Formats: sequence, structure tokens, C-alpha cells
Amino acid sequence: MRFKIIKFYAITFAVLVFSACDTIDKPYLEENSGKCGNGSLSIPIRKILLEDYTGHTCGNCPRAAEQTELLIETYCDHIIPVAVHAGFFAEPYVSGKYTYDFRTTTGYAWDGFFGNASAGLPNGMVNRIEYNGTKILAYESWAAAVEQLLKEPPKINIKIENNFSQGTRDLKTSVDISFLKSASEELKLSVLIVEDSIINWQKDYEYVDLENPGNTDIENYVHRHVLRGTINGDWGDTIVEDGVEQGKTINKSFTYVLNPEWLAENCSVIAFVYQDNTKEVIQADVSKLIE
Amino acid sequence: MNSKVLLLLILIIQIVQLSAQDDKIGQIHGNFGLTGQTYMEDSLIGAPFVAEKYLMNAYGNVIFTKGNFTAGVRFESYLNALEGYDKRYNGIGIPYRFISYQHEKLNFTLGNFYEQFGSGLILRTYENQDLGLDNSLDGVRVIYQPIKGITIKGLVGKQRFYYEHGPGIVRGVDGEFHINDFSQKYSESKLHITLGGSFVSKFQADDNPIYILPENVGAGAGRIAISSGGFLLKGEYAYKSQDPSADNGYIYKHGEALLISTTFSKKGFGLFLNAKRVDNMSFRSDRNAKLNDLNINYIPATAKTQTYSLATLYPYASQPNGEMGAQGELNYRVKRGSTLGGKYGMFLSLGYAQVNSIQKTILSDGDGYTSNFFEIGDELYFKDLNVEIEKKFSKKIKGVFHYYYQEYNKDVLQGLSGYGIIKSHIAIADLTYKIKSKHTIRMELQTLLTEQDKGDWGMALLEYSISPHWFFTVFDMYNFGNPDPVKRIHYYSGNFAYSNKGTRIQLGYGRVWEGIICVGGVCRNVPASNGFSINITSNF
Amino acid sequence: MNNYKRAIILLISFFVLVELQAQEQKFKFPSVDLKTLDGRTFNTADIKNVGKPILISFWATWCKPCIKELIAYDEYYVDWKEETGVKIIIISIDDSKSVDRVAPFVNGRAWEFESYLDENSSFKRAMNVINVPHSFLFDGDGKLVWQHTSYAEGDEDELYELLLEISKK
Repeated sequence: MRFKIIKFYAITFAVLVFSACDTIDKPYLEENSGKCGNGSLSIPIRKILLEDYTGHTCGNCPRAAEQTELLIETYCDHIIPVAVHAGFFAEPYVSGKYTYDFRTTTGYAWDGFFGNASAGLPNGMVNRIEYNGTKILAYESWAAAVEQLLKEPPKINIKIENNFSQGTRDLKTSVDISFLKSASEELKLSVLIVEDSIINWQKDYEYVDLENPGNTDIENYVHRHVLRGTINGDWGDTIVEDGVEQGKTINKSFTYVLNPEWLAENCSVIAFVYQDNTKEVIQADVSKLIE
Repeated sequence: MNSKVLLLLILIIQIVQLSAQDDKIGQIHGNFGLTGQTYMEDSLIGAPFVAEKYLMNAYGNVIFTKGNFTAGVRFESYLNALEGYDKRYNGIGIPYRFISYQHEKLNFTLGNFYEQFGSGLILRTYENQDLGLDNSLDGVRVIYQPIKGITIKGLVGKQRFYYEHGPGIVRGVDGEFHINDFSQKYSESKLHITLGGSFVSKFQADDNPIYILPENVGAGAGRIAISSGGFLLKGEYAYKSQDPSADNGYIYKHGEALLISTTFSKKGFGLFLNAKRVDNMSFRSDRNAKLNDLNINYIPATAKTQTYSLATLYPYASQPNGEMGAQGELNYRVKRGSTLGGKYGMFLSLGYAQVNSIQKTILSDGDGYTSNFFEIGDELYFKDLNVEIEKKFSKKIKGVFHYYYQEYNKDVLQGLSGYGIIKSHIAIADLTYKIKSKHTIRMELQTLLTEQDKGDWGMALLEYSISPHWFFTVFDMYNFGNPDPVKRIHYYSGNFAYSNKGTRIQLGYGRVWEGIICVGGVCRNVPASNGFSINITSNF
Repeated sequence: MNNYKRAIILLISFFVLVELQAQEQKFKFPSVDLKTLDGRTFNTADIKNVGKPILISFWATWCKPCIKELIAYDEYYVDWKEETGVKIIIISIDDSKSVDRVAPFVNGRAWEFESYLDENSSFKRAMNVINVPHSFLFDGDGKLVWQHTSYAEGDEDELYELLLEISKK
């Protein structure tokens, strides 16, 4: 009797072991049809806010930055990238390398609310949606979250118009928001200033320095899409109190004086509309200061 | 709301009073824990500004048993979570609740449960409140014991992920057979043999647009334990199918692990030896999870568990992607009356542990690498030589003396680069002096000497205890050898605790040094802190 | 805020009442499977010492105060057994990292306690133990009469007094 139980268990076990795992054969890659979105067409497309929480002394973070560039290459105008420098690994050193301060009060507020730095860097958010139980996503999950979002058509169309005066450094930004579908929650608008291609130190554990093997400090790293600040506060303005009908258009205008240290030709304005109760981004758009 | 609360209160009083008198109603037991700390900005040690000023973790467990029926619940509150904890814990919730029923040979559990198959190589769900670790399975578990000596377990569930669940579905089955209990031939034998086999598989949908990912990943393990008198031999082998994940860089190689250990003990003497090989055995219910999130299995670290502060400055954590190690420990009691042993005898402990990388031949395709099973890798991860002497000198004085030599590969173990191997000598003296009946003073003196990283450290601790309720402690950790003179700081702390029956309350103030936790390619910083702390635990 | 206050009052009264109740009745051990030092299985529901006291102590090989406590118990165990018939059961919560160290440790020190392994802390959780050391004392009728966490030199004297008290009944 006893041995019958053992035999039964052993056979069931063997069957399980040999049948219940998936084996994938080489090559392991999907056939990619490419979903490169074109934002300049008349048909509005879904534009997704991709936030990369990073820091200049975070040696693993360049992997996430590489993933951002890969996603831009694959999905083109569908991706609106922002790099938020926050937490311990963004802190500037007192002297030597890494003295530049990439942090912003907005980045501090967002990180405090969502908890990105405490979850371990690098990580990011895709439209601040919850994917697989969390808003904070490892960069390996970003493509999957983008794919899921692209299954739905856009609900809002955002158009930004910038008027920048080089001499006075005055910026006048006009944001047009048209509702392609009706909404029934409180919606807010956030407008950010982002500066691209800031050249400064970055730690990279996978850096291959032929002259100095083992060196992980990159002197002239190109920091992309760096969040510089917000035009209308950390959490933006309410544009819809409790609902809006389909077809309505709202316009918001802002004035802002650009910091003298930022290179205007590398700066852009990002505007995104989000649902206040879930903090999820509905639509985003980006426009350079100088076209 | 008022009347509902009153009604609930009356109901509880009734149940409790009835159960006190009549055993048949059932029993309620539980516990409660709370840790709170204030955070002051301290630029000298790098303690950051904390907006909330005061953070607190708290939890309470309640278990109700009646006959064969058990139900339990755990409330957790992080308002907000202490520094060093993932902020996704912020909030209040009931992340753990279960109902369990024992019916003859069958035990059912519905809800959250913790389980371990064998040594945990393919499945271990457990919790550790201090580390913020909880990967409980939420689902169904059945344990079947048809006859004495045979236990078969089956389970299915999703793992806890803060206040949500991880995306993967975990299924598992385990069988353990203690041959002596059901075999006539061996029932009287002094040789005990236990065999076990387990299989676990997880399902996670392929949502990746770049790779074709296996949705079902299976892992199997077999184990054997043979014991006779004071001798025990244990072995477990595990195999995992293709599991490309963030941990292993999306390679399609299979994983395997082998654990062998043997112990021999008799009166006054104990010997323990163990060897381990791990190759690509990270197993999570979300292939992109990081740090301590959603681990299905547990790879035990091949190192001695240290508790003295300076001995834990460079702690070893197992490397699921690949490691090979061995450790041994000898315990010996020198007899009373002998020359070395003195009046009370002496205790000696000698141990050694070393872990290296595994050999890897990198491949240029998605399989990642191949590794020769019997070859040890060239890179040293960790080495720990330890000597302990415990001696009672007189009725009033006793002491434990430790010497450790550690080599710690900070680059690999903390996911950094440029630090190399930290070699340190550590000496610790832990002396207890009984002043008079019930009053004891304990002193710890520690030093860590190293030429790398932060340099030398010294530590002194004084603890005054008044049996049975009071404890007063002060200690200071001083980084006197830091290459940067500005960073030669004293990290001092003081606390006092009151313990009575199942309750313990501790209040303290201190400056705590910072730490970095790194697992895989992700690092989390535990910032330095300066503030008052309170800790309460209670059991009822 | 009002609801919050009510919840707190409810919670506190609940704990107080349960505490009172716990002292009245015979303790029923949760049913958990543990391993003996030589690999056999033992179920905690089978813990008994007919008519005599039982002392259960949770410990680990890495817990220094636990070892001090058990050394103290070891010193007096023979006398206590003679005088009161007490049975001391020690439960190790060492997990798979250090569980194999338990047998050489216990046998190396020649401890005579009944020793079990709670490798995944199932019994620890079922008994609502938070930290080690944590010891429970049950009298001859199975009632929980005392428990303590932490260990200070001299605690064994208090325990001895209690043992004498409960074994006289």
C-alpha cells in the first residue's frame, strides 16, 4: 500500500516535470512589425509619458537610459521621455566629479509621493499606470506597458505652442487640450521644462574604458531629457473639475522666464493631462522652445 | 457607526468571556509590534531631510482557533514606512488573512500561507518584518498525510506584492517520505532515511514585444537525508527550465543548484560541513521584479550568521546567478578541570567559509553562457575565517572572545564597481560581570581593521541589566581609520528597555550609519539617521 | 477623526479582553510539523508533560541572549527536573542557512533539552512569537502561566520561583 502511494506520486511528478514547462527554440526574438508613431499627422496618436528615475552616481542607471533610447527608436513619437534625477544617487558631491546638481524640487516631490528612489534605482513609470501591481516599473517592463497602452486610442489631443524670446529669455506657452472622448473625473494639467543633452559626469558599471580599464566614471556623458522644473507647480492645475463632454476644447497659457544657465536650443516644454484620483496620465505632448 | 462599534464590542466581550469558561468556544491569540523613529537632518553623517519628521511601522496578528478550525489576520500600517523600507508599503491594509481546517488526514488552508519545500531551493515563502520581506502565497494549500511517514503538499497561489499580488501564478507539489515509518525492514533500524521530491511551476503571460518568453517556467528538486546516531548527511538538487528575467539579463539557459551537508555530533563535540553550487537560480513570480520582491525560492547564503555590529559591516548575501562555496564549523567543549578548561570548562568554535563565482564560458547567443559543473570560478566573492572562545572565569565573570578574518568582494556583493575586495581583521570581546544578584553589566569591545573602503572601526557597548525587567544600553561606533579625516565620526546610541511577560518596550536615541542594499542590478540606499526611536512588541 | 478614535478604543479593549481570557483557559498548542535533530517529524499538538510543567523556549544559533538563557537553564535543569518534573523544550528557528548547525551546537554543549527544528518559523508564527529569545511556561494543567522575551542574567531565579509555585498546586 505504502509503496503504491510512492509510485503514484513519482509518476505524477515525472509527468509534471516533463510536461509543464515551456521550451522556446532559438531564435528567441519576436517578429517586430514596428509601431513607429508619427505625431505630425492630422490623426492624433497616443503619446505616452515615460519617466526614468535616475541619478548620476547610479552605475546601473545608464541601462535604463539605453532602454529609453531603444523605445524612442521603436515607438518614435509615441514616447515622451523625461529623466527625473532624484534620491541618494542624484546627490551632488562637494568636490571633484559629480558636483553638478540635476535635482529639482518637483523631482523630490514626485519621488516622495511615488517612492521610486526607495524601490531601488534605476526604475521608471509609464504614464504612471499600475502594471503588474505597481506603478514603479523596472526598465525591462517599460516596452510591455507601452504595448498595453497603445492598444487604446487617445482620449485627448494636446497641442503646445511656444513663443520664446532669446534676448529676454521670456517664454510664452499656449496649451490646447481637445477632448476626443468625454471624461467624468477631475483632470489636471502639468507643464514641465526639460533640457536635453547636458554633458557632465555619469557613473556606469559597464563602461569599457580602453585607456583606463576598470574606470566607471564617464566624464562627458550625454544626459538626455533632464527634468528642469515645472511651469505650473509640482502637481499642476485642475482643468476639469468633475467631468467634460466630448468635443470640448480648453486652452491654458503660461509665461515663464528661462534660467540663464540652461541652453534654450536644447529645451522643450512637455504638457500632460492626468486623472487626479489615480495620477494616471491620459495624454502628453512635447514641443521644443525653438523650432 | 456608533451602534455598530458598540455591537461589535459586545459581541467580542461575549465570545471572550464564554471562551474563557468553556474551551469549546475557541481561543484567540496574537501579537502586536510597533517601531517608530524621528529623523533629524544631520549633514555630518549625511542624514537627509525627512519631510514627515516621524515615521512608523506597526502590525498586529490575531489567530483564532476552535477545534480543527483556525483563522488568522494581520493588519499592517506604515504611516509612513521607516527609511530603508520600500515606500510602496505606505498606507494601512490587511495583507495577510487565512482560514485553515484540519480534517483527519487532510489540512486545507485558504488565503495567505508560508511554506518551504526542502531547503527552499525552489520554493520558500516567509516573512521577516525587520527587513520588510514578505512573499507569502495567497491561494490554496492542501497537506495530505495518508499514513505516518508520508506527507504530500499541493499549493497554488499568487504572491504578496506590498498591498497587491504579483502577476505570476505559482503552483507546487511536494512529497516527503520517511522510509522508517512505513517500511517493515527499516522500522527498527538506527539508520533513518528521508526522501523528498518537489515540483514548482509559475505562469506569467508573455507581454514582451522583443522576446518570445516562456510563459510556464518549471523547477524540480529531489532531496535525501540519512541519519544515524550523531551523524547526518543531507543533499538536495534542483533544476529550473528556461527563465529569462531581469535578474539573469534575459538569457534562456536553464538553472540548477546543489546543496550537500553533513554533520557529526556527540557530547562535547560537533562538526558541520556544507558545500553548495548555484547556477542561474533566480526564480520570481514576476520576471522583472527586483531587490527582494516576489522571490519564489530561497538560496541560503554559505556563511555564518553574524550578529556583532562590526562583523556585519560587510555581510554576505547569496548570488542566485552563480556561486560555488563551502563552509565548515567545529564546536568543541574543553572539559572542566583540565588545564585549558579551568574550573568551568571552555567552549571552542572554529569555522571557515568561502564562496567563489562559477566558471562561465560566455556564448554570443541568447543562451548566455555554459558552465562546467565541477569547476570553481576564479573570482572570490567572500571568505570568512572565525575563531570563538567562550570561557567562564569565575562566578561573576564570563567572556566570549571572537576573531574573524573576512574578505568581501564589495563590487559583486553590492553591485558596485571600483571597490575591489575588502580584507578585514575583526576582534571582539564580550564580557559579562555580575555585580550582585540580579544586576549584571555587559561590555562589548570590537574593532575592525582594514586598509580598504572606510578604513578602521572601533566599537564599545555597555549594557546594564536588572533582572527581570530592565535593560540600559549605550554604545558608540567610531570610524577612526577613515581615509577622509572629516568622516571619522562617532555613531553613538543609547536606549533603555522594559520587558515584562510578553511585552517589551524600548526607547532610544541614536546616530545610525548609512548602508546600501544591492540585489542584482538595483541598489537601494538606507540613509544615515539621527533621532529618537521607540519599539514595542507584545504577545497575547 | 471620530471613527479613528473609536477604532483605537475598540482595538485596545479587544486586546485587554483577550489578554484576560488567555490567562483563564488551558492553552491549545497549534498543530505544526517540526523536525527532530535526527530528521524525524514531530507535531507540536503532541506536546505534553502529564501533570507537570512545560517550558518552551524559542532560540537560534545566532541569537546570543538565547544561548545565554539556555546555558543558564542547562545549569539548573537536573535540579529543576528533580524538584518540579519540568520538561524543557527548545525550538530552533534557524532557517536553511544555519539549520545544519543546530545539532552540532546542541550536542556539542551536551544540552539535555528536547530539541526541535522550526526551519520556516511556522511554529514561531503560530505561537505569535516576534523576536527570540521568547520563552513560555505552562503549568501541569496546561495553562500558560508565564512568558518572557529578552534575557537578563538572573532571570532563571524568577523562573525557578514560579516553577516551585506551580508544581506545588
